Amino acid sequence: MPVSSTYLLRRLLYMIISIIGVSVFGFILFRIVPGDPVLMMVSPTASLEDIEALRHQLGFDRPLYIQYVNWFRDFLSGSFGTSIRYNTDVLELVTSRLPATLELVIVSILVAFVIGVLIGVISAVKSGSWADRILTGFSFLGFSLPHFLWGIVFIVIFGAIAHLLPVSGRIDIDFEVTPITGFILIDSLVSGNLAAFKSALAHIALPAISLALSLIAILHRTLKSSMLDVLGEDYIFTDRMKGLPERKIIFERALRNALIPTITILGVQFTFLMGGSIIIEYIFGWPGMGTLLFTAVQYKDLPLLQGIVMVYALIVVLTNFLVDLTYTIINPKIELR
Amino acid sequence: MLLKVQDLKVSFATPKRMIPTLHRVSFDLDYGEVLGLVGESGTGKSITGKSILRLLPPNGMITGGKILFKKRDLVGLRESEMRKIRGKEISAVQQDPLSSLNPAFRIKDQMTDILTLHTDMSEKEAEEHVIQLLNQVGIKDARSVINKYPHQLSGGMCQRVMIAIAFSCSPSLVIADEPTTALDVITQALVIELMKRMQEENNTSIIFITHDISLASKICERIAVMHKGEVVEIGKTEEVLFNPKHEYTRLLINSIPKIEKEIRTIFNGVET
Repeated sequence: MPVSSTYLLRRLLYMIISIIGVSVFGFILFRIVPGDPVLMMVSPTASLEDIEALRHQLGFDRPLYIQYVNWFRDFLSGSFGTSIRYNTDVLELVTSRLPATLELVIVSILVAFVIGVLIGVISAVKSGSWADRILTGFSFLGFSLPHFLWGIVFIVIFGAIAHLLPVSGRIDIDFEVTPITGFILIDSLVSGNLAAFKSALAHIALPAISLALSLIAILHRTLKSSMLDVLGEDYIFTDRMKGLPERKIIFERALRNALIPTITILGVQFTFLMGGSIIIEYIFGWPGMGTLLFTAVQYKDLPLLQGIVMVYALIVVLTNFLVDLTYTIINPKIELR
Repeated sequence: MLLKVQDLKVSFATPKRMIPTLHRVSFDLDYGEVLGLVGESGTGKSITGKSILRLLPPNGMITGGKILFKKRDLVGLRESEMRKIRGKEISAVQQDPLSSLNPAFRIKDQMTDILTLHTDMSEKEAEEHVIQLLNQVGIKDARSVINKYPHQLSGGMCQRVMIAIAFSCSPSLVIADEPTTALDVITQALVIELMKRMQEENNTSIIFITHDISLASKICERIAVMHKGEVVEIGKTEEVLFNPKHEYTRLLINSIPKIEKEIRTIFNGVET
């Protein structure tokens, strides 16, 4: 791979700086917003002394920078602290919820990529036809409504009216799937439990599609325009001049070039979907990071909040790095140094 | 007779109307002959070439005439039949060598595909044949070149690769559309020499499209002068050059840069 070690080192440095930046920003932000985490914990009848004692025990009475330094020291040793609300290790809580969120986002991206690329190619190859116009209309519609609104529309149509698909949770409670990877779709397949796999697939369908719709629309448009450009290139004429079948020309020779701008978008959109999944999880009762974040905000559970923010930051930073590496594979002209 | 183009008419569709671009283009070409198609930009030289391959842009269409290739009319031939002819019987070399090779694929992939398609060579045999072909067009380290991407090669190298592709299935006809215009003068001369050699070795017919009548005279046995979508004059190179019948041909010949003429006389003077 055309990636130099100085590039990797520099990139690693940037990643560390971004992570520290996010941690400082998050730390300060959550402490200056109104609401007292200690008051949330104690019973309304608790005495002032009890409250102050608890505050001291949790360390919230110390200066902000000392609190941060303490937190950062723990963070470096791999500890995210203890959740106030759940009284459990934050890292444990987050890692138990993370697979559900990742599963939802990855399935959304896969759905969006397959559909978006397919209809993008159709729109480009049959540009100006009825098929193109109908697809463009659909993707305009998909893009016009925010994903949480689509979620509600789908719940009403497929859940409440048609009773076609489940609208809450990851799987029917009757099924017992032993967690191996934490991805329920994979775990049920690996353990050979096909009924459980079907149930999990049905459960993920609506939230994943709600989340995928806007991305489908974006991919459709980008791919259509880049594909139209590529199909007019001289090298496509060369392939046609050779007598190659049109299918090979479009899906192999043209598509790889047309995908370059699409991959950029996919990287940016992955982090965007991570954010979007928060509300979608809430709407569909999806037991992932999003619902955990809601609880953390509600109870002003500062250690948990900080832990979740750090995990999101890590994912974003790592994704951006991976996307950049992908460029070098898909476009041999790019060298990272 | 290999190719006979008869009263070829091509029009382009715009949102408002059809714009006729070629009006009654006629010429013929014998086996192993090199014909120059000369004229200024926009006279329909490239369109003529693309019509023969039936690869006009989506809004262009042949509205009349015949293209008899080996006594078969290519106009109206089914797309699947045309695909068997393209690459195998008729191929082309384009103007810009860098943009006519796919930037995302290795040279190997772009050279073996045409061979495995039109011959019964296996992937492995095709690769060996590609190395031979590259040696033939003067690329020495062919084994390393086939694993490179186009952007890692020079323009001249890319044009050699394109010529190797065009000649790889020993076609009867190669349409060379300004194959040297994007190259520097020295590379230009080398590429012309190479095309001439490949043409002689394979006894291929070439339609050599250029705006440079002096360049055409170096390689072509006959020259057809095109002007405003018509062939206005066609004949043996010497006749067209020294005894032009059409006013436009005279203008073309007069437009050959004077300095080049002077340098040529100087050099010729030294040589003789």
